[in-house]
Amino acid sequence: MKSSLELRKLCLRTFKGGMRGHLPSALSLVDILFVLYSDCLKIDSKDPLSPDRDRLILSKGHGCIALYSALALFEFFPKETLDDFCEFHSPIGGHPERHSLPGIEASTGSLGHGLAFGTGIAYSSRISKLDFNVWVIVGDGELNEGSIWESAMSASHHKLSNLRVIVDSNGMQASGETSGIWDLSSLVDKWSSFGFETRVVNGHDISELRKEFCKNSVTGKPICYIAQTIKGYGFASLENNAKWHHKSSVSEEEMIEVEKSLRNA
Amino acid sequence: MRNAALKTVENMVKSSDRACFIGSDLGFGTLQNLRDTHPERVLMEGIAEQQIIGFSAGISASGYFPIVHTIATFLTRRSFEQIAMDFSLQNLSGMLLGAGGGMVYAPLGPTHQAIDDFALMSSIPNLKVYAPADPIEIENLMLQSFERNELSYFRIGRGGEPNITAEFEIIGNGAVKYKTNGDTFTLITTGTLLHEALEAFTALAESGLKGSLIHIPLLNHESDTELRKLIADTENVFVFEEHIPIGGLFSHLANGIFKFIHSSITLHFSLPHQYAKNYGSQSAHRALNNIDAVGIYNTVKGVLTNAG
Repeated sequence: MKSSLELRKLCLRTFKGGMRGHLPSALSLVDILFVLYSDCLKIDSKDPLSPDRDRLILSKGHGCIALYSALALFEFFPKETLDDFCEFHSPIGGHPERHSLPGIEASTGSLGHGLAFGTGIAYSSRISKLDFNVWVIVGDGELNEGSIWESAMSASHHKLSNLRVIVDSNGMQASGETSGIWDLSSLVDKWSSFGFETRVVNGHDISELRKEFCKNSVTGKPICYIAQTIKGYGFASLENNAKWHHKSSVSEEEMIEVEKSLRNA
Repeated sequence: MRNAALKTVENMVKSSDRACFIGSDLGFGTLQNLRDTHPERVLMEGIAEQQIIGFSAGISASGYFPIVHTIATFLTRRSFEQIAMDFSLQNLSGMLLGAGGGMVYAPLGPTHQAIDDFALMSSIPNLKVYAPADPIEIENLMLQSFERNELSYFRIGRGGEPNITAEFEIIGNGAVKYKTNGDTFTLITTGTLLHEALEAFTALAESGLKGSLIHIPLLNHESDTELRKLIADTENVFVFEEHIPIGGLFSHLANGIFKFIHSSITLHFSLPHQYAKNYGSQSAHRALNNIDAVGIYNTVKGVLTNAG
């Protein structure tokens, strides 16, 4: 039986593969990705390029440890691949690259790109007459990028009701709390005023995510979920710990401390 | 030339279900009839270059062929990273049509003067950089690029250019065009500057100086071998371009062929590496920088006379 706890453990395994990466930025996504791949996305790991598949675009590409781990958990590729994270010949690096492995839909890393890309794919369903949804996950720090709001205006204008934006609202970015960098409150007001059907969800409540993610747009507008999350969630020593935003070297002692701090619930 | 480009877009959209057009607030009535007949594949988007490039890359990832059109400076400068990361890095195809190439928009000032578009676009892997000289050429090159499913950038000229490229000999796959009446010199140019170069070339011939004229409408062409043969026996090679001195036609030639040819004296004339301090017309800026017909004529004549 797959679980978000297993996915969280796989994230740690991936991180240990390269002994580097944006682990806390990935951990805030774990429950969201688990629900998407287990319950919501219409995509077959054995036919990952089917034209009418749902697409998931991780615009906050630095959270890729969670994406790789989720794809491995849901059998898009073997879990052993995770052990090569960031190795020279590995297909999985510090930011995702489109089609480097099945299920990776976009090359992201430079923030503010994935939503525009997603609007184009969502719009294309209008030409192809294929029925699919496009899910784009953005970070709350990423909302600093002006291109995000260009995309929001376009999605709203075109009434892309098959577009679902998830804001991973963990309240942190590289330099600390997002509110201390640029205070963007209220996100609900902002996305609503840009023409989105906006819903606030607990990004770590599996049953709530299942319920909310499975609802279609009731207004014909694109949907934005403000997912309230905790950066580093699931490992107490990483939670809201700004020093862990990105690590390029980790001591053995630090790693042991992280592993011990795993919450088993 | 812009009318020919838009007419070609119309033909592409009408003849292929893959072709989609994405404009950025292009002005009242632009392609309105086509928008009426093909509303789902002909879009007039807002003033948001980053968005329209990322959006178009998404269209391309879905199996369609986006043709994006706006003013060249906004296309190449504002959305540079989107072209590089969303299109090129992801191996996606599409066509970027930049209006106002070179100093076409001289009176509008440096924000609108596309003097660095070759350099910016040439730095992006997998992207073909085209600078056609006349309406027939842009139509042919656009259709070929579409057929080859390339990622491409087209520098579009002012408009009203007469068709002159048909009288040139085609070298290789058509990315190089050639005209000769002697072997004293070789002029090499690209884009609509070919019109100035041809006028100078004709006047030079009338004055008794016979040479060759090469037009290279695809900067990153694959005809280096043929080009090397064409200029191998010429002592004096002149390169003229309506672009800053680095990253354009001369840089491509330097990388592609000049390093293999040691016998030639090569001179390069371009716009300066700075933003223009004057307005006026495209013609005035070409004259100021000696890349108009008179400037080209005087430069070649002067060098060859002194050399002789």
